Amino acid sequence: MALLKSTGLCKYFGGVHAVDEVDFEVEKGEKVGLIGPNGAGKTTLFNVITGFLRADSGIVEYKGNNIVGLRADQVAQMGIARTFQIPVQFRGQTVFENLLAGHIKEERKNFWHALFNTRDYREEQERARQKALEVLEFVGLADWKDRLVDVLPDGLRRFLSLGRVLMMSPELLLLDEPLAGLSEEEISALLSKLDELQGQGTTIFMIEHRMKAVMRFCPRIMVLNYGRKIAEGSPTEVKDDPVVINAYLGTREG
Amino acid sequence: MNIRDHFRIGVWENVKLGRNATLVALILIIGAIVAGPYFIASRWQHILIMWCLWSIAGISWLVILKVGEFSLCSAAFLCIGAYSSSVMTLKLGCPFWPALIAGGLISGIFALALGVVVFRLKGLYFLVITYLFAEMLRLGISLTGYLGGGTGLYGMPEPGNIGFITFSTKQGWFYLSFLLLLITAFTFRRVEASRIGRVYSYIGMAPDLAESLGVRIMKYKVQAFVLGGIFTGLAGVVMAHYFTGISPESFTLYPSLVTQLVAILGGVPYLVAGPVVGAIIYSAVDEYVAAISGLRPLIVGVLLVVIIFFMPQGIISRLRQLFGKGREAKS
Repeated sequence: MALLKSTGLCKYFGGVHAVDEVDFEVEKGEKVGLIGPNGAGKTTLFNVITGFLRADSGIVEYKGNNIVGLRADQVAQMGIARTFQIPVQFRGQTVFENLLAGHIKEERKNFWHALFNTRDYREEQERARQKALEVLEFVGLADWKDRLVDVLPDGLRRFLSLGRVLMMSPELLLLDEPLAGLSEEEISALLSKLDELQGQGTTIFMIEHRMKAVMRFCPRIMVLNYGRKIAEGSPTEVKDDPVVINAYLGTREG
Repeated sequence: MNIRDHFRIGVWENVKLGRNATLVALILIIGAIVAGPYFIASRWQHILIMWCLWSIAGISWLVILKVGEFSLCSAAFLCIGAYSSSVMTLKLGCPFWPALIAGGLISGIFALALGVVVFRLKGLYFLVITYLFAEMLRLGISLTGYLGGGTGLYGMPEPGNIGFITFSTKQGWFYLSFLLLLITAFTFRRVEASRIGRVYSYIGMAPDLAESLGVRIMKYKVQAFVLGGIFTGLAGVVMAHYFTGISPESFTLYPSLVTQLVAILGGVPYLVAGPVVGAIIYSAVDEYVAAISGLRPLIVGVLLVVIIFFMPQGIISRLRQLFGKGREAKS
């Protein structure tokens, strides 16, 4: 059974078919790339899957359960983590506090425990801090721990965004252009982290515009254009597909 | 090293207070607070009472701002607290203390019911609907005969004496307000220092990001609203019984503006200290300006404009900057 599966998924904005009858499957432990020209509906597809937008028709199954109609926070609770195209951060807070945010869904001690600083609450917070330290080390931001996130360079913000979703111990990672704005060295650093995660069993589904990198990293690529899935297959198959070339370069006139 | 650094290091960092010295200082401060009201003029007693009450309402308003919404209904919570306890004591013969607790709780229940509705809206829409709620409530009360209509309710009883504390003079009211302020300050200090406050800031800062991490936004927003509602309601109860009379006219837009004013004066980054600092300035200015009534809104307006223009982050941030301990120092 596929980990994530959509059937006939549609999302319309007025007359625009942002996502149009999309079917796909992502198997557990896979690395799948999602590419397509600007405005193809890639981010909209992610927003529909993660509950930020509601599908107009079709279903999305996660581990066999339909997740269409769930709120974004409920989708997150199920173990699906996403990052955003713009690496949004919680401004005015430190890098460490930004990481702790990713752990909130794991925390079960309620308001009163937190208010009265009970032992259970303190232990839970201590676990969160331990985990944040590990993640900080993993994404290579240990030196930035207590700096305000506002002063973090753009490249490192991508690493912080990744770190924050890792705090959620996700089974499925939806990454929206995780490589945008990164240098070559940073790209290989980030991809090797992702490889390591995949080795531990995390499934990765990523939107990406950096063709070389995504072709190298993902054994399977899906192509979206005008909301429709126009191709799917290994990087070489996709690269040579005339339909895909057309979508990116346009039809030759005359 | 300039003169300021000398001052800072010399006074604050080289002086280590022993445990005994701290204890003595604490006893002196508590002594000053307990004995204080007997030595100061009645006018200043009044200022201190209003300081406590506006601080409570200001902190309650600020916690709602922390989850990212600008509310305009502090007056409504004050009003609900004040009317609940007034009705209970005047019409149902309930003693003051249970009425005080009930006033806070009823206000909290209203906040819960209102919160689940109004937090479906954001930004300006939220601001407008909270204001409309406050106005609807005020007009509704002025049309209800049982609640005294437009004339209001008068002659609320004062609580009985507790030992040497009497409520027929201002001292008792000061102790009560100050105790409430301490409880409020403790509660919100814990909120700020714990996960609760962090989640509030996450939501206020980047709601979509917070939601993507599994935070149920509505729950925390309503929670902050209810917290604010309860404490503002308690302040409302004390106001009603301290003034021994209320009318719908007491709960116009003005008190809502004052709660914001005190928070903004002190500085919105400081959930507890901000409103506490802002409220002492407001209460003193108000008391000395209130004599020239008619000018009150003008002077309050001028105060707000000056603060927002010259120190948009409030007085505390400005002072910290002056002494080189601004927020930037954190990085």
